[in-house]
Amino acid sequence: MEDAHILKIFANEKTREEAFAMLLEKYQQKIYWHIRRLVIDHDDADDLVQDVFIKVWKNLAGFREDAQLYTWIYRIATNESLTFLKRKKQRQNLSLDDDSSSYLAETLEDTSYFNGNDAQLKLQQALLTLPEKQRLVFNMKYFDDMKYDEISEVVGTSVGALKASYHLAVKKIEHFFDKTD
Amino acid sequence: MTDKYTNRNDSLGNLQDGLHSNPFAVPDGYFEDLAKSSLLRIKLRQDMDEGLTVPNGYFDNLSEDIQARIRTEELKDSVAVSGMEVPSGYFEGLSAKLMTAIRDTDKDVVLPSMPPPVVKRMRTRQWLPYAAASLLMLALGLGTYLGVNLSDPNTIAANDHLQAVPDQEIISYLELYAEADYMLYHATHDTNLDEWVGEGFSEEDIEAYFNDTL
Repeated sequence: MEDAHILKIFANEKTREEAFAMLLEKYQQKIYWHIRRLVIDHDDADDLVQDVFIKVWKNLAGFREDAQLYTWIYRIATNESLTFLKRKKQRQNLSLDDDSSSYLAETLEDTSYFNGNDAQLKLQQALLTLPEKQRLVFNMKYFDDMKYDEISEVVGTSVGALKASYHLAVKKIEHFFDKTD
Repeated sequence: MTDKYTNRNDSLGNLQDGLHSNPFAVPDGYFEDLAKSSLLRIKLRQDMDEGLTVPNGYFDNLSEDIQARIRTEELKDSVAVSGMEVPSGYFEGLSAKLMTAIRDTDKDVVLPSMPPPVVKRMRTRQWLPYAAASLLMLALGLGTYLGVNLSDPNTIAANDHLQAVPDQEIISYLELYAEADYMLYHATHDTNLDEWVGEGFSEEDIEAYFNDTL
């Protein structure tokens, strides 16, 4: 279902819910996983995905089609997730200057919804050593296969800076793997 | 007898005359068209070279891009997916859960009201001199402004330009700044931010709010 078609149906108050149901079917998994890879814990991701789609519902009528719909939704999801992580750090009295996600390592160990092999666990551990935004860029490129242009629309950073960030992330992960072998 | 092609003494050429002829053939009209087709190919090649461009700095970064791609592919050979899971049936029920949450939110949302402005009460007699002084200053200032600016061509041009702006646009601009103050109030007073982002906020408003709260 094309986004333009969903928006057209959404514009009609009588078919708004039907359009939103289509939007959910189309994007809920992508957005869930995008959030989940950032916050690690399933219950946190579940809460956030609801918050995100409630915001999408409330603001979709005003969405100006100068950006792609899914990058707009991704942006909301990204910002909600980063805000959540910032509050989590504050609740744990962690310094906001330390922008790595190492405080999530315990969440990764405790979560009952991780069934990866050693390599997958090691990758997640490696990712948690990266600065949050770098981890975010890596996830979108590596797991979501997004193009740099699309990532740029989500995070508001230039393509050149994103490429540099991703290249560096890959090197750090390789180094982590080599170090822990 | 000298051979007419080579000036060679025919004493060497015991070969039959037929073997002196060129055994190869070409398509009809080949040589007539050869010059024209050669020139056309040259032009096409030139056109192709001039038409194709690359983004600025493309080749500077290409090597690193390729290396990163190779590293990614190698990493994906061992780790293609994250290893994370969801509870059984989670996604099958997620749409219904989200629609229920949205319907509940629509019923319950009440935008928090702004706190009443703090008004410092003054005794009646005390404010009279201040009011009089303010009115006098206002009159003097307005007179000065009108006297100076109405005669200034730049001001006249600016006013003309302002006249050309639709009233609704001015109202929207003023509303935006009023809302910005409203948003800033909530961002700094740590109220429940989930509820006040409602209708009427543009994508830029939402983005600015997120940047403020990050």
